Amino acid sequence: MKLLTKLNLYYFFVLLVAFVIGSAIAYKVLERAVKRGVHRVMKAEEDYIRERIRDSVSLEILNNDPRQAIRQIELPLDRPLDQFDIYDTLIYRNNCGCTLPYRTLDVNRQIGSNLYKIRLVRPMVQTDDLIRRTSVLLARVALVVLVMLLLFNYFFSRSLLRPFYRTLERLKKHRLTQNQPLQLPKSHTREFEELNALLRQMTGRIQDDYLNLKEYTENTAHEMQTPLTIIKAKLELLAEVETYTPEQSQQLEAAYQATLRLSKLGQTLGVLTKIENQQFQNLTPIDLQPPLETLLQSFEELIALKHLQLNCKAQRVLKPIHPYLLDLLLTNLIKNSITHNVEKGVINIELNPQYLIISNTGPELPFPPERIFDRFATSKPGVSFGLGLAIVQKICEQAGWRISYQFKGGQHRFSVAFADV
Amino acid sequence: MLKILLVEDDNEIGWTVEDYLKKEGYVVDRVTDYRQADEQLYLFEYDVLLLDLNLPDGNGLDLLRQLQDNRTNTGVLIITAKDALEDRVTGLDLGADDYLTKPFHLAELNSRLKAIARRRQFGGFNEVRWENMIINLDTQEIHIGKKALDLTAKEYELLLFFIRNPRRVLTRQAIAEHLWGSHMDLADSFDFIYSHIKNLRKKLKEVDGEDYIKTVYGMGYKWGRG
Repeated sequence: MKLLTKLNLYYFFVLLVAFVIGSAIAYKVLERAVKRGVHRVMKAEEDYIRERIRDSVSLEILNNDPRQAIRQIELPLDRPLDQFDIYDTLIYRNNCGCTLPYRTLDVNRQIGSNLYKIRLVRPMVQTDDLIRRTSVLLARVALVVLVMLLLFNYFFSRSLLRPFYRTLERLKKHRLTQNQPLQLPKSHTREFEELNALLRQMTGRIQDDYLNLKEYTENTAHEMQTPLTIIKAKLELLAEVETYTPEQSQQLEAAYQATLRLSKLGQTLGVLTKIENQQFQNLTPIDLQPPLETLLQSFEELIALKHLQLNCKAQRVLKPIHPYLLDLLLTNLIKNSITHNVEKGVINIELNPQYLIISNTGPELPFPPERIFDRFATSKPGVSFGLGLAIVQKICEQAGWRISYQFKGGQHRFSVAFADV
Repeated sequence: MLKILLVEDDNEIGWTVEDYLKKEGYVVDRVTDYRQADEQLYLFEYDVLLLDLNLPDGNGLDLLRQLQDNRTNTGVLIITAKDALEDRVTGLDLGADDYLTKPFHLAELNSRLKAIARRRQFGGFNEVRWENMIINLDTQEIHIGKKALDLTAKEYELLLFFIRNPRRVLTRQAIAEHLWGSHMDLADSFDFIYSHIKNLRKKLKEVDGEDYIKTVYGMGYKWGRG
């Protein structure tokens, strides 16, 4: 969810809660005020009635008013003298044929030597109505405030957050390999300026580290290959000597093989590091079909040697990838399908705009299948390093493709799903 | 006789290569830095320049630019530990003939050197001879005496690799890399070399009655009589 949407949603919820609580409180306060007013009026009227009784106005005349009922009572009293009892009642009205809420006041009074029970009844409709109307009005005001706030918030937050979004956009486009400092737009907001300064600093440091690492990788490769070249050349020269015993020959061969392995390992790890450092960038699409077919041709003899049956269905497929990486990817996958195949086995290759699928017959893996792309995971230790598929995975990662492995029906199946499908 | 200028900052490699090439019958001058190389190229004319790009006092690519400006007829073979793609492309753009990545096989170096020298020499015979065997490099026809030897493309390359490095031990790795490139490091390819060698031996015997390919126990093969 976008920050702005989230922000607005939070605002909305807070306002909603504030409005509900606020209107509940307002309703209660108003209700109490109105009731208090009604009570005050009723009590004043009761005062007046008592005065009239004291002035010897007959109860009959007083009881002519339907809103009041006064009668003389005897002891014992149902309630202590002078104590008000105010409550709501529903009274049936003939004129509307409905029951309506009324406020009732009961009180026992002693006037002269007589005891009276005075009851006053006042309709509550108007006050209820008042409260309801007030609440509706309040709700409308709150709604207007809410809408205003949301609009205000939406437009102002948008312009406030603009530098943030611009920073985000720049970061997305930033590539370490382009070796250019991160250019961020100026902002007058302190937090954003701080963020930008931090990002500039951080990417600068990362850039430095990256360059260092790149240099280190290259230097290591160079420094390692030079002594290896010497060892290799010397061993080749030693091999010219014709007077060795079989043991000496064997030792020489072992030393030579180990040297070759070491040199191969250095080169392969170097390539892996280079891919991880994203030193191969290419965003112009190339056709995958011709390189695939060229490679298959160069592997033709090996395929024939193992008496493998090759089925290849390849279409023209344009994808953005560095040609070197493509070559590496295809070479490793094809090589893999030959090395780990069985005599007279099958290799199936399918290339279409959605997938590249390479499957081959072969014995099951001696390690868990989820480890297949790990470095140094190999079923033939001493023959292969188990780096080929690690490289393949890294290349796919960089190209934004997804590679998956399955072993089904005695077939190893690697499928590369191109991203833009 | 071929004159070669070897520019290599590492003394041990330089010495090994120099020694190897001298035994092959080349005239070799060896220098260890950019300044000396520049001077030698100014003073003398060489058939082939063997150039390490990574020099202590400069980039070998600049030497190439200079050679290109002077329009000399010197062939160039770049040797470098840097397997950097850009360098390779730049080097070949600047007129280098070939590119060899360390660690290389001496036989491979020798073979490529001969190929460059042949390409660069004007009026030279486009054929390679070994005893009574004549290989025509243009038509890829091979004659032993008066009899023609009919080989497949890979067998032809293999034979040429042997002829260019006679009496040298060619390791199986060197042969594999020469025939299929460096990515062909499969153990399987050794079986393949074996079958190619077997076929080549058979064809040679049929035509000439003699087996020139000797097996060097554990290491590889060697071309030579007896």
